[in-house]
Amino acid sequence: MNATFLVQLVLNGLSFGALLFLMASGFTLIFGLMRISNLAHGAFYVVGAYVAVVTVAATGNFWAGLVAGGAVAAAVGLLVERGLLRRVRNREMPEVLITVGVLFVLTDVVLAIFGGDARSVNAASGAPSGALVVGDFAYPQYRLFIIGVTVVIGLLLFALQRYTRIGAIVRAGVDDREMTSAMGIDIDRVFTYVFVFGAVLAGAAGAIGSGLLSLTPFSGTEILLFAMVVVIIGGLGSVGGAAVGAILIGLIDTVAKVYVPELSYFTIFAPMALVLVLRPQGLFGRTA
Amino acid sequence: MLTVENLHAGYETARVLEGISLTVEDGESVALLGRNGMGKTTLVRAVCGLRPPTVTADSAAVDAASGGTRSRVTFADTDLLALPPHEITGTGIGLVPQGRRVFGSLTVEENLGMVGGRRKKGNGKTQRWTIPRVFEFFPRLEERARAMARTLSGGEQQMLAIARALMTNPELLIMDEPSEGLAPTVLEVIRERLTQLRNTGLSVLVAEQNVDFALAISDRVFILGEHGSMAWSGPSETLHDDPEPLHQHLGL
Ligand SMILES: Nc1ncnc2c1ncn2[C@@H]1O[C@H](COP(=O)(O)OP(=O)(O)OP(=O)(O)O)[C@@H](O)[C@H]1O
Ligand SMILES: [Mg+2]
Repeated sequence: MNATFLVQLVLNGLSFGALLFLMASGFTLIFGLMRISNLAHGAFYVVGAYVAVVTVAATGNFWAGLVAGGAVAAAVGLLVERGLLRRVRNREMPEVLITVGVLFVLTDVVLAIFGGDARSVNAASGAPSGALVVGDFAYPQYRLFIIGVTVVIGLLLFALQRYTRIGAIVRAGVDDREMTSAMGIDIDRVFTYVFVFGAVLAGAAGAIGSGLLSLTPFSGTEILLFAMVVVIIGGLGSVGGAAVGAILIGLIDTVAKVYVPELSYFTIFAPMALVLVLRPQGLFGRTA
Repeated sequence: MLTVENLHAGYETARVLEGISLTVEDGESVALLGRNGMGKTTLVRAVCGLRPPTVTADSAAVDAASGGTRSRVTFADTDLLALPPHEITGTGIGLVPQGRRVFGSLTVEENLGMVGGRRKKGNGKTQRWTIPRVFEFFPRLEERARAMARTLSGGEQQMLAIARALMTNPELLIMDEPSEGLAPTVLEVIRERLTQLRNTGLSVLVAEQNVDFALAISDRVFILGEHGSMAWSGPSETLHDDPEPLHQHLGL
């Protein structure tokens, strides 16, 4: 194994990890605030991805696809939250069942419209394509672009959480939802914001991911599984944990798929099981 | 100002308050006493809109049993039972909950800055509370401004819980066992601050187990007794002169 190959492997892992982070950060925030395992997150990914594919096919512009994917995912997220989840607030079983139902129904709707064949975004204008060549080292620019975009989003998210009042309110909500509302905050409104924000991130992940991974109506369910492993490793409710978990799982999965492809799911579930045994609250989770 | 009338409240597993009435007048400080588990917190939570407990507001059975009046909680003529907690805070009620419940992963400053309620408006009577003003009131909090609230001592957390409630610019401050677990010196600081607050015209409702502390900061006392009813009420002074009701209802 030479150094070039190693660098490529790491970058592949990081770019996959970047997608996982976009999924996992919204998922973990929604869980932290409202204690909902929002399986509909997988549907937001698929919706964002297919809207992006259609938009890019129509306009030939990657950025139009990204914006459209994020926007439609946001609208779907808003409908799910205001129309369904809000009606069963604080009743765990109906909440989970609704999110599962949304995932299944939307996956099937996408399947009915687009069929089950794998697709991907064709080289669209706007998105970096082709290879970055440095000496005899060549690497797809699109993957570097994904890493760059995600780093920017991650830093913005961090700054928002750490330095703004709304960020403090969200963290307060994660700490103690009831006291947050007793301090005059409309926690339901905050939850709607966070839920829609998470949907935007998932939709954007779909739009970006459709240029990287093959896309079928079931891609959302698949990446949701990875994102949940990331969140469990990082600690439910922790965005920093989601970042670390996403990098870990992105790297592990990429390396494992090259060297031990027959063990692919084992290699992500084994670290998760290990974390659950040694540190049940996750690497960055707080003990209740 | 605050009127609790014939309040019935409880949990799925237990009926706790069975027709409680209590008032806090404008500028008055009222103590709510009662032994462990008599329902002080239940009353506080019902007033602040925190659920559970469920308030049986319009059950016909309750109405008949209590001579036809429903559970009513009003504050400045607003029906609180119809409001969610954040709107109740918006009417001018600040809560210092039992166990302090400051936001542990926020700094002291963030705990103060996140509140809603009348943060921007003020309560229309006294000077509006701001972070600098709160720091002047509790200098200890300014020293710990950047510390995570979970790293504060119990006394500091209690100051923060009070300061946080003040930031909503309340007209009525409701405190649930503020003395719990505090060293006497710290308790003395809190008592002094509360006296200062009362002098500005702030109304206070304080649920307490610590009778000396409660009597020191209140004008009037209500004692919750067995069976979810009010066992005694009267001016604090009466109890200074004749503590018999304390013996009888609190087992002192
Ligand atoms: N969430 C709940 N579910 C069921 N029962 C409860 C709940 N909270 C309190 N209770 C019961 O209601 C009764 C009144 O409790 P409450 O907390 O109001 O008492 P308290 O006077 O505040 O006591 P303390 O002085 O210990 O704080 C108790 O018997 C308690 O066990
Ligand atoms: Mg209590």
